[in-house]
Amino acid sequence: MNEAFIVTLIEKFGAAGITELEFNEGNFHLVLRKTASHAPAQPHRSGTAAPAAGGLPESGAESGALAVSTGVTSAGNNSITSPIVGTFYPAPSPDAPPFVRPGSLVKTGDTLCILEAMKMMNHLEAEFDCEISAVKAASGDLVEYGQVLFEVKPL
Amino acid sequence: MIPKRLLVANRGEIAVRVIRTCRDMGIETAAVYSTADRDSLHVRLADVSVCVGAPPAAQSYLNRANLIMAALHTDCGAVHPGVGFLSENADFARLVRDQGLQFIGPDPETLELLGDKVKAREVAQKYGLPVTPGTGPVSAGAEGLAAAEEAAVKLGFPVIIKAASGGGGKGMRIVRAARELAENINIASREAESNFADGTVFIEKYLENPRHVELQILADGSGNVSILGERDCTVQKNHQKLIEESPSPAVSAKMRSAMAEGALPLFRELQYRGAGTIEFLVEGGEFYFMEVNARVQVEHPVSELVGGTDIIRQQILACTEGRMELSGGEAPLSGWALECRINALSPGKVTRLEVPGGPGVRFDSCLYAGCSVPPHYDSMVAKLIVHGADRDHALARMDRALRELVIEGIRTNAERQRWIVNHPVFRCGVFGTSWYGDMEQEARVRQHET
Repeated sequence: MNEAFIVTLIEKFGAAGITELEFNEGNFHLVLRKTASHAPAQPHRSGTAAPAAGGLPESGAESGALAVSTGVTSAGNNSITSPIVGTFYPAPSPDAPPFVRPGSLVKTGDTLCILEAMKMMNHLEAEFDCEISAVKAASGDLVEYGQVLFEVKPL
Repeated sequence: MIPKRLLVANRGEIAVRVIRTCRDMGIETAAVYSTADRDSLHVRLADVSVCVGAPPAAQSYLNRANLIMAALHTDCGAVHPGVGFLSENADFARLVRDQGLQFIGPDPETLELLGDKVKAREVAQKYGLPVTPGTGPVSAGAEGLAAAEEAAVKLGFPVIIKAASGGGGKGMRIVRAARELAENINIASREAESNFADGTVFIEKYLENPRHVELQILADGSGNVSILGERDCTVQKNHQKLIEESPSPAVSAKMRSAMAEGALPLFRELQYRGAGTIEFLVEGGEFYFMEVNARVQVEHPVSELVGGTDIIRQQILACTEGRMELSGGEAPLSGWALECRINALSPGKVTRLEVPGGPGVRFDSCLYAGCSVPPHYDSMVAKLIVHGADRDHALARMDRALRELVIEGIRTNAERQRWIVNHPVFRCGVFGTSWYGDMEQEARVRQHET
């Protein structure tokens, strides 16, 4: 298999509107995969010492208000998923209005909801500007890792 | 009290194993899984399941906060840690307890004590269990080195230098001659310092080709300790066990009693709770304490077959109700059991699975036709266990069962296991831990030459 051919293949693949290419010839086996620029395959976390990253709060720690933000998106960047296992709260307190509603315009860094885990109130922040299309969890729900919390339209 | 529901904080074969016993006991189960394990058998078998993270174990099966939250939110009353992952993690056990959940394992304090190599060795010696002959801490100065050399000569070469706080081979050096000692002590100490922030090292006699023998312990937490015989795990490659059997062809009734005599009071005194294993090296008719694994072990089924009990069931009873269905002391054993670990040699999709059966055959596995074996975790996908009246009978059954086993779509070590089971050295029962590795090397060289 000559190198020029592989380079050509990669270039053509890069330009084409497909996300995966598998090529086999004799013993030669090549798989090319594209990660859409707005749809990272792995969750991104910013902020330090989020419980999801393994560091546990000392027992007795109550509301560290640590920011757990996520850019986990799937299906073409139209959902925001939970980065941890926890309890979903749409508002800062039971009587307060929710952080976001369908139709809300959200800027990067805005709080979307609270995810409670291990007595820690984790604020989930938007990682990009977007409009909320739907809130997919109810107050008090257990949400698991990767569960869709919001459907959004990126702005 | 037996919980209504239990969280299995593990994956793969052991998670399936725990779920099965829970179902037998009328306990509901909650499974946890990473995104790579969404379609795993343990998830399919459990009553409820929670996704706890991304494929790398550090982000899912080792994510303590997510595991605890999963347990609390699925109304579990207990957590079974399985093997590996967090099964011997004292902090995790403490966290489980602090959340008002029952941990299916010993107390965090016991886990801490037994996890410290030097302390565990001291505890063993206190109960009269022999440890590998060795020195106390060795210092790196000229005077210390001279004393170390004298001690090493007395022990006889080869010796092994070990880090007091060590593990995973770090800070460990095998030394075969006196002139290599000083240099290796310095290297080991530096390695220990940088890995464990503690440069303390000590010297032990190095056993070249010992047998690995361990006792299966079950205890109820208030001093009742039962021993379900020993297991021989001598067939290993790179410290990974491949075949286990019970009883051991190398342990006499006298040695078995001597091991039990030390182990019983040790576990009694610790008020040990649940399943545990005490490991020994055996060489030249002598045995030496190595370590305690404070959890259930992969190879527990061989002890279940000769001891006629369900170890996971006894472990759950001990840790939730403080009782067992076994009387204390050495349990009566019957027949001979063998286990072959079936490892995936590559990840992939299982396209066909034919499971061996018939008298005396048990197949514990997380495989099903159409399942995927992800690349992120331990390669063991099944355990094939047989029971027979004696060793020959068990060997014949294992050969038969391995011939019946068909796994297509992924490569496994099943054929290789059959080769070992039928090897004259394995059949005669006289070999040490380095036998298999050497053998394989030799076979490879021969294959290369022809």
